[in-house]
Amino acid sequence: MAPDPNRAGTSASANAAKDDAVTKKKVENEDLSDEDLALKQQLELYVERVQDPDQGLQKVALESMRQEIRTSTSSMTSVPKPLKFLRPHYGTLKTYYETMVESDLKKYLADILSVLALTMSAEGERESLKYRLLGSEGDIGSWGHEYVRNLAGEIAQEYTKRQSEEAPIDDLMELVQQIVAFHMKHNAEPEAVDLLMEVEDLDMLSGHVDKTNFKRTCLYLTSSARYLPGPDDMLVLDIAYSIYKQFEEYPNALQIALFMDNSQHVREVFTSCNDVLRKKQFCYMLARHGITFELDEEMVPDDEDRELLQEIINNSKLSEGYLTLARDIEVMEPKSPEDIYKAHLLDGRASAGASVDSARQNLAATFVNAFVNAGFGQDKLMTVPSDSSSSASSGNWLFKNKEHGKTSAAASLGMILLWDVDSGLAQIDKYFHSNDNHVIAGALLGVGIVNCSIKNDCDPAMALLGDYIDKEDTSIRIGAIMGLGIAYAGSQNEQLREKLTGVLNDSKASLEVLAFAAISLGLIYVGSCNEEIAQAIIYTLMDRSESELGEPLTRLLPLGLGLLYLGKQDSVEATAEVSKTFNEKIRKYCDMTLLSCAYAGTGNVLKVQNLLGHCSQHLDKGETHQGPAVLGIAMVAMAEELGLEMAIRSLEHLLQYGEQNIRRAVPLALGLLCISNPKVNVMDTLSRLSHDTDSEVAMAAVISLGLIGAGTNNARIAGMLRNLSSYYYKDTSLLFCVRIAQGLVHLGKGLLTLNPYHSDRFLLSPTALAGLITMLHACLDMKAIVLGKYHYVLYFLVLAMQPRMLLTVDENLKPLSVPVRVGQAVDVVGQAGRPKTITGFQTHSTPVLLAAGDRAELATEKYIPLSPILEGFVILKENPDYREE
Amino acid sequence: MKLTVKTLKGSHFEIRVQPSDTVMAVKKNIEDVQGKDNYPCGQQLLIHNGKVLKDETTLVENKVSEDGFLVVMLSKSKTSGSAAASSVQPASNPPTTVSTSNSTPPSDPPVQTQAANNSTSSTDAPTTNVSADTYGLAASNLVAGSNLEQTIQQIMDMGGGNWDRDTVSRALRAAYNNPERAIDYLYSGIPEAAEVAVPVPQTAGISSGAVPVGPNSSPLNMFPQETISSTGAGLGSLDFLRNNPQFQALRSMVQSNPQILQPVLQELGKQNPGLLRLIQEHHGEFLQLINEPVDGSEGMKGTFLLVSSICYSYNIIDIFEQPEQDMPHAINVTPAEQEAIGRLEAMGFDRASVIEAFLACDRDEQLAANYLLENAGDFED
Repeated sequence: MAPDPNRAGTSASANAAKDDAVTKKKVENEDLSDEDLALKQQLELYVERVQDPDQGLQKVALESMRQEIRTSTSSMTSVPKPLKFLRPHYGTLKTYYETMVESDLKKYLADILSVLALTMSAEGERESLKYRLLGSEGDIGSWGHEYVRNLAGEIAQEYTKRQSEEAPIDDLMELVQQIVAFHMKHNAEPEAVDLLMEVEDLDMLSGHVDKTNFKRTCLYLTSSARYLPGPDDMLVLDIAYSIYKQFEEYPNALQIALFMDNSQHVREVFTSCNDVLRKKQFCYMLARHGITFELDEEMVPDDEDRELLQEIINNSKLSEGYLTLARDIEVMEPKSPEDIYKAHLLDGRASAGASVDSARQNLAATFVNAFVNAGFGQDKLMTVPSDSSSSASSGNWLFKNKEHGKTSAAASLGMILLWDVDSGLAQIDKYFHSNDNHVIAGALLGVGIVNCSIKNDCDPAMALLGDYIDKEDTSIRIGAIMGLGIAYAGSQNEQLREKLTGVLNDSKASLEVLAFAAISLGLIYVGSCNEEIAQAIIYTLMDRSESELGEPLTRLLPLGLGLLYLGKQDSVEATAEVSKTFNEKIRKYCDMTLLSCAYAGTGNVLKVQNLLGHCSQHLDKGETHQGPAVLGIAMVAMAEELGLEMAIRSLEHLLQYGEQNIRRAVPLALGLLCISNPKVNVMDTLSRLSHDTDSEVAMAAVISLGLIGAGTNNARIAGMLRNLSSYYYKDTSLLFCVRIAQGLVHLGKGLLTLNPYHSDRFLLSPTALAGLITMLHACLDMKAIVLGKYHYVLYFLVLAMQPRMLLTVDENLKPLSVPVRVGQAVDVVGQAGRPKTITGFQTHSTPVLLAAGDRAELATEKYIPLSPILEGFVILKENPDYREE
Repeated sequence: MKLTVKTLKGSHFEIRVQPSDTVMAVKKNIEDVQGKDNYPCGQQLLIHNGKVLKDETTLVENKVSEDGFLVVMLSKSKTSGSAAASSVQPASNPPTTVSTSNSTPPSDPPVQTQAANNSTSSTDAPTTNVSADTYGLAASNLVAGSNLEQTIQQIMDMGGGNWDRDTVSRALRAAYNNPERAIDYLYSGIPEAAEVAVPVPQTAGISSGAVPVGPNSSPLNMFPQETISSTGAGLGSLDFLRNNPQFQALRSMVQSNPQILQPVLQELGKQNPGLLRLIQEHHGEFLQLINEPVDGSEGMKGTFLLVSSICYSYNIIDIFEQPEQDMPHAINVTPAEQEAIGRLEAMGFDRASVIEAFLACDRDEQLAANYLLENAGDFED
């Protein structure tokens, strides 16, 4: 009789509970449909059965509950009803879970709790992850995509916590493995990459990429690298490189190798690929980048092939391709400076003054003529054919310039015959025998310009210019040194290092010779971190007296030192430390120059902030270091589009609140940010500044208008400059600047660009950037350098000049005309599927011009391009699957 | 403690040192680690916190700590000489402080460089002056703005009172504000071509504000100056136009191409409303001037008609009296037409009206009758 009273009591309380439940159900029933009500009751039954002592019943209930949840979460409908109905029971189930004994059933319940914790767990508790680790380790994807994403987020947090506590992470990594596999299989590559970055184990990625998803994965990796601090960015790029190589996408791998500036990786690309035709495409890409690269037997086994490929790298055919484009577009006819000025469109005032001859204006016309007819081989001033007397007629224009103006006039012949070494040397040769030292200096410089970007086995530039380095005349020495710097930029030539460091160590050399020697060494060894050259330049700076450090050309010495570390980031720390031992007059200038050069093209926002901090200081002793700091902001921020836009706005603020020396540098920084890429707002700003009351600001703004429109034939900028030439017709200095800008806008008659970025704005050519920076630093002191004796520093721009073209060639490297679509590039990083990569396109036949921001793709399936990015020279192969329609 | 040493190559390495070690000991340590070929201790230069460290000092004195770093680089023979000189001086001057001896090495090279710098500076200065003078000589020495008044004063002083201000101003304008050329003109007389160019600046100013209308703008722009000078002489009279060369050119243009008169008058209205009003007040005289033959041209009658119609559009009234007087016109009619006119007259209309309507309706009797009947009320006036 003892059990009987207990049973009766239980029955009584159960009856009471049931009555209450029935009452509640009646109230709730009014809002639910019959189906929902049935589901709700079913789930409540499952919850009760899970708590039943009978394990058989528990198992059935858990299985049914799991089935319901999986069915609902795997679809793309609204809030899953099972999760909604189970929410009130989360606490109950959690409490019961703690009381269960260890068994498979307990793990099943943990799985369900993990899913419920998706919405029920408190912020930061990471209960979903906790129960997942305690669960049955079943297939993770069957619970739905949202559950996987939530787990990934919690893993990242847990990883950070465990790292700080130095706890083991093996179970986490096992789970990461499953999640990454799921993501990669379901087109969620960005999520997978993000998770692996959080747990610092990107190597795991290699095992999960396959033919269908590696492209999107690598695209995401490459774009993410821009926003990572070093050395993480190198690790990410290395993985992208490995994946591309794994799937034999060698052109993409080569681009990443060049981005990393890793010559070992470049070698590996060549040794991994067996197709000679693809190697030719590699060589075209290397030539476009402007680095010196020597092929060896390991990379190209066949001697004949190697010779042919080396010729492509040496850029021997660049002039040929450029002229093919010019003929196709029909712009071969020489243009005179008057064709650019278009003075007849102006009203009467300026025309009246134009009749008076002027050495300054003739010098400007020399530069305009050189810029406009660059690379065409013929013009109307310097290369007119001789009719009566050879020297008289061909030298007619040369001798309309005076003194050091003749240097630039003779050198302009090099610009006109740009990249055409054979013809160039033949035509420049007659000026070597002149009695005028300025003409000889110009001829030496012209030889260097003709050989820019071209490498030759005979080394003509070295043979011709080498002996003039040690001449007594200062002009001749500068011409030879500068010519060698331009001809051998980026080559890291050992002979030149010995010769030019000898010049630096020569105590009898004048300051201007030392300055140009430092710049040339910086150009030849750009980005090399060469220790001996750095030491030589450092000692040259230490030996200067205080008055010498105040000379305008002294600023080129720190710049030469900075170019050695272009883009090398932390490697510059030691040299920056040494610069603190310099004389107070040059110390900060050198520090700013080194910092901006080392982080150029990196987009490092911390350095931009650092440089902005220096610009906010008030100067009281006539210091000049804020100029390179402003330029440095542009150099660092030009790396990617977002940073570029932010930098433009920062520079606007500097313009409003900055002191005069900062305001003079801001137009040049804007010019560098938007080089050959005219943006309307920047155009308006520079147009406003070109009327500034400070003539130095106005001059910088005018030159920058030329830079942002360089090679674009932009009608709006051309109109602005025409108005400025009318406005400033009485001011010879500003009129000179306007003429230079007009020449730049029509650079190469619109076929050339000064943009150092190429390959879809991914790669930065170090020699091109070095040339631009040198010219801009010279413009920081416009009156003393560009408008003084050293106007030929404008020729450093030749290092950045490249045809902005797409020229397709066949397997025999002959030009081949095919239809292509050219349109505005669209950013497809992180997007699912296969989105369109261009918009607003037009169909043209190659060769075709590409404007800033343009992208090209083939409009026919008859050919397969060997390069994924259609720019410059692209080799096309016949498509074997193609059928004539 | 462990100390990080960095090189100009961008690489770095660690050495183990004691805080009490001297800088020379550290250099030997670096030589041991990196090899004698790379960094021989005699040529090493150690830099910390912007200072070159002296061999005899210790790390503690230089405030070198574990979290900082040293920079090592190689020195040149000149620096070795300087170091030797610096080592001698402290020996002879025991009380000399570290900072004093630190400043000693830089003093030697500047002395040598100063001499070279002086010669360089003296060489550069004349070159700069020469180039500046060359550019000055090459460029036009144009005078503008505030300098103009000063230049005029100087030229007047130069002449010793021979030239008045107006003469000097006119010469400067003829020479495009080039004072040298202006003085030449004053001595030898202003050339005829330059004289004609005197109004150019004013004309340029005017044309920059207005929209040119092809060849018409040139003669019109001459009127303002002439009008200003002539108005005082002959009020209310157009006789001044008779002798105006621009007006004579205009007249020949109009007579050869009468269509041009309308845009000319429109443009004149913009430039000089007063003159246009004057023409309207004396329309008869204007027409007479326009129609005077230049070389006995033909087609004067046609010109007259067109000129009249154009002037009419500018409300130059009483125009219809002219053609009747100057152009008597005989109309030939056939006998049949004569009879038709007679029949229309019989309907009660005036003969003159009948003839006018008959001709206007292209000599169609029915149309003329219809016209006369419809507009009967008009002819009663």
